Amino acid sequence: MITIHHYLIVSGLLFAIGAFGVLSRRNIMMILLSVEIMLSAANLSFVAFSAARADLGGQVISLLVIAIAASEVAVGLAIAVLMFRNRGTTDPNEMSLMKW
Amino acid sequence: MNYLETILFYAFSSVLIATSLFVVTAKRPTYAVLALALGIIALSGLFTLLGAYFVAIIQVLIYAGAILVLFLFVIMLLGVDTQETAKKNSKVWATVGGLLTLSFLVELIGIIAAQADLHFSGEALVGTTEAIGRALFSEYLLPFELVSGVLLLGILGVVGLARKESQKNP
Repeated sequence: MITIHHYLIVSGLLFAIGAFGVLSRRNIMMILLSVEIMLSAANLSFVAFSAARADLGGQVISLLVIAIAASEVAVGLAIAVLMFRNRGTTDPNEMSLMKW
Repeated sequence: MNYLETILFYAFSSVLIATSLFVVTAKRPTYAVLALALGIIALSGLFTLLGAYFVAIIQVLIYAGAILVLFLFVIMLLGVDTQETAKKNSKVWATVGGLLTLSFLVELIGIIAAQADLHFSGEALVGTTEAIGRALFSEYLLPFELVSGVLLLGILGVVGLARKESQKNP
């Protein structure tokens, strides 16, 4: 019998994997992909709670999260392209021009 | 019927977790993007099990169809599909990040396991296109319009970033 706890634990695992990717990778593309994984984890939680409460709100919010993720990726990839053209690297640690 | 749901749940979630682990550890960004596409399809299978049919379809269309194709396009355009430069602080960050996320995960699973009074409601909730559309255009009209504003701002931001670059090197 699959309960809501199963879905929430899968969602938590997914979020932890994405957070680990953000913390450990040194390539801005991979960091953006890991952020996408974290957003998907949030979506899974929203839909699971929507089924638990018999309320469509969670599914509607997960659609809005998908739209936000799309615009976030567009802006993030534009910044990554500019960064690669100007500095010749995709390592965010190299962007230390403003560091004292 | 119940067995089928259990088998499908474990199949979809194991594919999802395995592809996500591959994404955060893959050496080449192209492989990571393709693995994430498979993971997104498994996630839409989980949504289907929960009765959120419209969200499942939109997830595949937007994520696998638009976002990941954009990722692939930029990776191939830039030609950055190389291994990350192995630095010594990369290993430190992997250790610190692993410990942080592991402690976060243990705490989260403890909290979820403590919620004994949380159950699926008996009534079946089916997220058909009609039901989602009715909710979106009545109860959730304000967030819907705000998201369209965010999308417009995203378009303007990307165009602004791209134009500044083309004016610098005409």
